[in-house]
Amino acid sequence: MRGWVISAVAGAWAAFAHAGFALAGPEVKIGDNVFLLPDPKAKVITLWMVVNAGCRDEEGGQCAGLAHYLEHLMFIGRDGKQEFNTAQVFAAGQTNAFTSMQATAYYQTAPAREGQVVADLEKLFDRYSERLRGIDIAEDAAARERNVVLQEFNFRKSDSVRRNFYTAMNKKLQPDHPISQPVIGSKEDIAAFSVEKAKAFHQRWYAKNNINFLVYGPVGADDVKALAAKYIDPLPRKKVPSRAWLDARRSFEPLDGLVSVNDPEAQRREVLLEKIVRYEDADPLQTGISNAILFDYLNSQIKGSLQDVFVENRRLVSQIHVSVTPIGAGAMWYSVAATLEDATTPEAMKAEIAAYFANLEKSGVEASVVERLKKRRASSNQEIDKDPQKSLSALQSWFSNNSSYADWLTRGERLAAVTAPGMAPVLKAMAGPGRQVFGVLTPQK
Amino acid sequence: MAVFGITRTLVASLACCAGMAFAQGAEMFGLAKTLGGLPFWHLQRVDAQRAVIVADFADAFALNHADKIAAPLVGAALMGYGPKGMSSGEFNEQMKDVQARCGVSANIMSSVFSVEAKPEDIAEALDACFHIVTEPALRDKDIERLRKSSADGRARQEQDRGSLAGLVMRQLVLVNGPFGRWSEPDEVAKITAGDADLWRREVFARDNLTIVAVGAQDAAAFGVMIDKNFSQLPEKAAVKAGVAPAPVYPAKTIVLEREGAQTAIVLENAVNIEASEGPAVTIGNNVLGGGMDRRLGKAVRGEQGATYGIGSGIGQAAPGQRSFSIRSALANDLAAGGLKRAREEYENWRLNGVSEVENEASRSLLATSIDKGAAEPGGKAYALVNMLRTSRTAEDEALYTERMRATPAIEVNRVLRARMPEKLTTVIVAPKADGYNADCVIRDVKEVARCR
Repeated sequence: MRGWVISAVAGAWAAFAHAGFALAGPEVKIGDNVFLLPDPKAKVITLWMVVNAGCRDEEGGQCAGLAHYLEHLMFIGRDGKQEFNTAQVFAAGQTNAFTSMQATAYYQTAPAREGQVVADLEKLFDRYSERLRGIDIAEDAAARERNVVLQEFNFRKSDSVRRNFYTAMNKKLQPDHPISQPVIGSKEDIAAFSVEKAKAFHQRWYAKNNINFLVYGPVGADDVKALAAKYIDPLPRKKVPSRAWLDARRSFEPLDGLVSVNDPEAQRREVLLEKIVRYEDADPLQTGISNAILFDYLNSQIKGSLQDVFVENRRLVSQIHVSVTPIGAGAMWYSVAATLEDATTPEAMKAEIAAYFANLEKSGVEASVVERLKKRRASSNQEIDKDPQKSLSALQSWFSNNSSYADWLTRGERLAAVTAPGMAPVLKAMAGPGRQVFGVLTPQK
Repeated sequence: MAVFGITRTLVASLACCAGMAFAQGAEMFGLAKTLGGLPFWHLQRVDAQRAVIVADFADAFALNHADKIAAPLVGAALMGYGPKGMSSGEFNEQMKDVQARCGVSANIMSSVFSVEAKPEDIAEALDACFHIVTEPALRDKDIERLRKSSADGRARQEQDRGSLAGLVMRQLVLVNGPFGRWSEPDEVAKITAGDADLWRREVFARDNLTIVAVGAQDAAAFGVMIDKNFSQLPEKAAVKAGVAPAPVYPAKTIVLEREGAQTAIVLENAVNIEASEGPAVTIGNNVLGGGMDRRLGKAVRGEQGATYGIGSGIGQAAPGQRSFSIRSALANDLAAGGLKRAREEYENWRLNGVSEVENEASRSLLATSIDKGAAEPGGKAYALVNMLRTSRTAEDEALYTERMRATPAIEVNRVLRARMPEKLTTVIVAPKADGYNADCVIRDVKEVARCR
C-alpha cells in the first residue's frame, strides 16, 4: 500500500516482518499491559506508551489527521506556564511520538542516574498518567500547533503530485475505507482541526485498557509493579469501541483500474500495482508469519526473486519492491512498485508482473529457500532475545501493529511451522483475479 | 591533575596490549600488532554479541586527480556490488545468511571499509567481504546504474528545498578544490571502471590505514584474521597527501528564488576549534539547536509555529575544516520572522553563552547518548576512528564523555565567545527574495559563482 505512514506499516503481518521471532525474550510482564525490559547495563530509562488507536479510528471512519494532531497536542498544554513541550519531563532526556493508521505511540527517555532510576521513572509515569486523564490546551497554543502540523505536511511534500497519486490509487482500491487516506490529513483537514474533536478522540480511545506500556532500564520488576499500581491502575477502564465497521466497509468487487499521472518531480517512469486478494485462512496468525517469509523472498536477491528476475537478469526495471498491508483475516493488500528501464513499457510490465506471480503459483517457492529464510529470522530472533534494547524495539513495533502479547509468545513455534507448501493458498490468490489498480507515474518535462 | 598524569603514564605503559578500563569504567583501546607487523587498535568485550572491524584509509585521491574527482564515491559504491566471481545478489544474500554487514564508504578525508558480524562469523565474514577491496567486480552495468542514480539524486536535490539550500551553500563556499562538485552527475559520469580501479590501487594500502577491531575475540585472534586479509594490500599507498583548499564564506545573504510551500534556510560559517574544546562546543551547540525543546526550537517552532523542525550542528566543510550551521524549512509567510529569531538566538548564544541549567541538561543528554552509542561495538569503533582521523588519541576517545560531564558552563561560554563566527553566510530558498535584504539573488544553482 502506498499511503500515509508517519510511522510503521499496519497489521500483524508487518509486525512479523518488523519484530523477528524471539522465542524467550527478556521482557517481564508486569500487568495486563505493562511490560518491563530490564537491562542492568542500560545507560537510559525509557517509557513507551503505545495507544491502540490511530487514524482509521477517527470519527465517521474518515481519516482526517485528527489522531496525529492529538499526538502533537499531547506534547503541549497547560502546565501553569503553558509552555511548549511541557510533556518532556527531563531536559537531559528525549521525547517523540508517531501516528499510524492503527496506533499512536509516545516515548520518553532520560539518563539512567545511579540511585535515581526509580524516582525518575516515577516522574515519567506521573506525566503519562496525567496526560491520560485529559489534556487542556490554550487556543493560541492549539492554533500554533495546527501551523506546525501544516509545516510538517509541507516538509513531507504531502501535497505533491506523487503523494496525490498514491492517495488516488488507494481511494480507487478502497474507496470507502480510511486505510486509503493519508494519516496527516489534507490541508483542508488541518485547517479544520479543533481541540474539541481531538479531546473527543482522546476520551474515546486513550484508555489504560487500550494501551501497552513498555519500560526499559536498570530497574527491577517490583519497582515497576509499584509504579504501575500507583499511576496506571487507578486510571479508569473504558469501553473501547469495536472496529467491526472496518470489515463491513472493505471493497472486494473485482476491478482492474488504472491511474496515470504526469509528475514534474519524477525522474523515471514508475509503475505501481496495488492488488487486494482473498483466500481461505484457517489460521491468520500462521498465515501472517508465512507471508513474512514469502515477502522476504520476493524482496531478496535470491534466484527467482523479483529483483533477480526483473533487475539483474531481464533488466526490465532498475528497482522493484513488493510490500503487503493486512486488510483483515483471509485478505491481503499487496503492492509491487518498480522503476522502468527506458525500453520497458508500463503495459508490458503489468503483464510481466502477472506472469511472474502465475509462474510462482505453479512452481511454488523452493523448500530450501524457505528454510534458508527461516534460519535467518531465527538467528535474528536470538539476537533480539539476548539484547533488551532490541527486544524493546521489537516489542514496541509489535504492539504498534495492534498485535497481542499472547501472539508475540508464539512467534518462534510459528516460524518453525512455516513450509513451502503452506504458502500455496496465498500464492494462488496473488496470481488469481482480485481487485487491482495499476498506476503509472511519468516524468513531466 | 596529578591523578590524571599518573593515569596517562599507566595508559602509555599498557598501550601495547588489549584495551583497558579506566577508574570510572571508561574503556580504552589498546594498540596491538599482528604477527605480520600491522598495527591495529583493539578492544575486547567478552560478552559482545557482535564483532566489528573498521579500516580507515586516508584518501586524497580527489585532491590529486582533478579529472577524476568522483572516483572515490563511484569506487566505493561499486564495491558495494560485490567481488568478482559472483553476482551482486549472491554476495549480498551470503552476507545476510550470516547476519553480516560490510561495505566501503568514501568521505572527504578517507575511505572506510567495515565489516560486522556475530563473533563466531566475523572471520568468515571478513574473508568474504575483503574481496570487494582486493577484487571488486566493477561491472559496466553497475557503473551505468550509478550514473543514472546520481543524475536522479541530483534532480531530487533540486526539488527538495532544504537539500537545494545545502547544495547552494556547498557550491558557494567550496570555491576551489574538488569537494564542491565531486558528487555532481557530470563528474560521476566521467568515471570508468579503470578509474575506480586506479583509486582502489592508489588508496588501499598498508601504510595508509588505521584499523580498529571490537569484539569478543582477543587481540591475537583478531590479528590472525587481519593479517590474512590486509596482507594482500600493497605496502605503500600511491596517493600523496593533499592539501584541501579552505572553504570561503562570504558575509552575504543569497536567495535562490524557487516556488514552493516552504522556505529553506541554511546559515553557516567555518569554525576553528582546538581538539580539547570539542566537548564544550558540542554542549553549546546542543543548547542552541539540539531539539524542539532547545533555544531555536522554542523560539521558531514553539513561539511562532513557523516550522516543523530547526536545528544547528558542527560538521566538516572540508578536510581539516569544521563548520557550524543552522538549518530549517519554514512557512513562507513566517520565514522572515523565523530567520530573524534564529539570528537573534544565535547572537545571544554566541555572546552571552549558556546557563548552568542548560549546560547540565545538554552535557548529560549528550554524554548519555554517546555512551549508549559506544555500547555497540560498531559505535565504539567509529568513535575511535573519528578521533584518530582528527589527530586526537585513544585516550581522548576513552575520556570524552567524562570530560563532557565535567565541562562547566563557564568553559562552554568561553569557547563560544572565542570560536563562534560573528557573521554567518546565509542561503535562502524562497518563492521571492523580497524581505530578506539579499546581497545576491539567483534562480539556478549554476548562477552561484556570481554570489561569491
